[in-house]
Amino acid sequence: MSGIGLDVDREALFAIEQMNKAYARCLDDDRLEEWPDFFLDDARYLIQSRENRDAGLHGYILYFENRAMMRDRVKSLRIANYYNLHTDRHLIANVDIVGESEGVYDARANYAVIQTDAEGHSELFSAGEYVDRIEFRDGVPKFRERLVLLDTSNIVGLLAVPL
Amino acid sequence: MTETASSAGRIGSRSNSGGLVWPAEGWSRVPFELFCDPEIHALEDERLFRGPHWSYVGLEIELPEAGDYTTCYVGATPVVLVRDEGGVLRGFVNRCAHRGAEVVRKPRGNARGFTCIYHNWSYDRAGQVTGVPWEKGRGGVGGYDASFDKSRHRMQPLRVASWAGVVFGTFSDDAPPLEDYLGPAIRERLSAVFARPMMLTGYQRHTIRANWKLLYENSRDFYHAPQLHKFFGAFGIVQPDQAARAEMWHEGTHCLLTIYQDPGAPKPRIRLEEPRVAAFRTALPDNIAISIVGIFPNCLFTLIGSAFSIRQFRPKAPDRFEVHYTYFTYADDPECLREHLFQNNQFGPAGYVAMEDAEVVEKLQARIALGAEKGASLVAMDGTDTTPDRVDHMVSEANLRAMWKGYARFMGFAPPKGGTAKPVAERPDR
Repeated sequence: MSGIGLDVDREALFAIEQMNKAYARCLDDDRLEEWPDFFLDDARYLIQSRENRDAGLHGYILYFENRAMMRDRVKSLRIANYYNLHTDRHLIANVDIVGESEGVYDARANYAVIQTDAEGHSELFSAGEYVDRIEFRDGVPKFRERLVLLDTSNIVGLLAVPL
Repeated sequence: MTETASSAGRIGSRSNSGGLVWPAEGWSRVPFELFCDPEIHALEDERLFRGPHWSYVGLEIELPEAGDYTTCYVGATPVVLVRDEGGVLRGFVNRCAHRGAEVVRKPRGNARGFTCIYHNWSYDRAGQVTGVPWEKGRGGVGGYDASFDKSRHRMQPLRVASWAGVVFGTFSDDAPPLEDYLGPAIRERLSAVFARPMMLTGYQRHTIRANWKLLYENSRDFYHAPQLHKFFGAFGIVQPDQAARAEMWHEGTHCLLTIYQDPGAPKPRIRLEEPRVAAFRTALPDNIAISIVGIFPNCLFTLIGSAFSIRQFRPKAPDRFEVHYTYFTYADDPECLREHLFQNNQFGPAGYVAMEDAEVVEKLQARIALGAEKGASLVAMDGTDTTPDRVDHMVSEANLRAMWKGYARFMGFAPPKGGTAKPVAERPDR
């Protein structure tokens, strides 16, 4: 899509922007149990490096193809896994709709996640792009797919909480 | 470099040879300074990664066509692996023979040859110089004199050899033949896994702020698995008393670790809603559920269900290393790729049974780096001896002790007093 997008569906864009804000706040507030609610039941949540994507390779850091897998992730983080004590700040910008077909919106956004450790040191943990397919249910946008495309393909430490 | 501390007060005191004397308690103690000391880090590059050992450098499936190349590191040294016109794999250091600049700039690709951007020296696929701008001068002036022979210049070669499609390289003429280096059990396991056609599924890069040996040790540490990784236990996937075996080769530094299927595993307290994440339809023989193959000094194979990976260790500093993962699965069964995508959620920097390892070794490193470097870790589960070549249960650290003994020998460190390591020739001062 060329141009500067003045013909965008403003109502849909506003709803998608609001969803991204709520998504960021949900994760940053550690309300992980609510995170799967941003997705449709059979939605995919994928984290992939740009390196693999550009090479046409299947490698994913996380590959979830339904909401049950997202709930399993949260449950495991809560009861089974040990990971770095930290807080996240998701900064999401350049939210835009880049296409629409039969009610499915193709949207993109840039993200950066700043992590702060238990001793108060903050670092840029991950930068990249959200490549989304979004449908509306009763006026509420839901992810059909969220692909987290990592520019930061070299993960420092570990990645426990969803991006 | 930090100044070399005097031997006084050190658990692992320095001998005049510049090496390290192992604690008198023996192989059940591992001096923390092995994980902190810049001199030891530099010595590892010389004696392990540039010494008479074979380092993993790639898979043949990454390089199917003439001109295909990949880049990686052998210890600190950047290397290029390329398939030449005749189909032969070549390795060389990614460093221009002229001034030392990086020549191959992309991580992987296909090329007829390579050209350094600095002064446009060009190379063939084997790393041999083929072109030098202004070699004979320009406009009748300058140029190299008659003694210059560009055919005598090349990027430093790396000997390469492969087994079952897995490619290794060494800088040393003293390394034994690769088959002997791997040993019969690892050869057999690799041959069994690679008997079917494989497809490459991706790469992953991972930086861990710890010493590389902490993770290499961790990969064979039965003791930690059920204690630290609660995912298997919480969801009833693997039980701590499951039948397991560790076989050591190459003076204890390779480890062929095998955990067998346990049909009698109790029902889990909590189930995964999506069990395909951990549903292993094993393709390995003899009822093997999990096999982790550590090939010293730089690689680990993880073979579980259809989720296969190789981790290449790339030490960067005493307290920092990178792990480069290569993922692959069987190409002859489309179900394997789907299983692979599900199962791979368990591994890598975000993996259900892997994320804790990075967390533990990073926090361990932070606690031993300053003030505690004179201490040592305790590796005394199941006795204090090194079992010669095999452990048949999970309630043991004997395979760790065997590794440290072999490591010390390859590093030229004096064995503990009363220890059983073979004597090592004194080295001149560094």
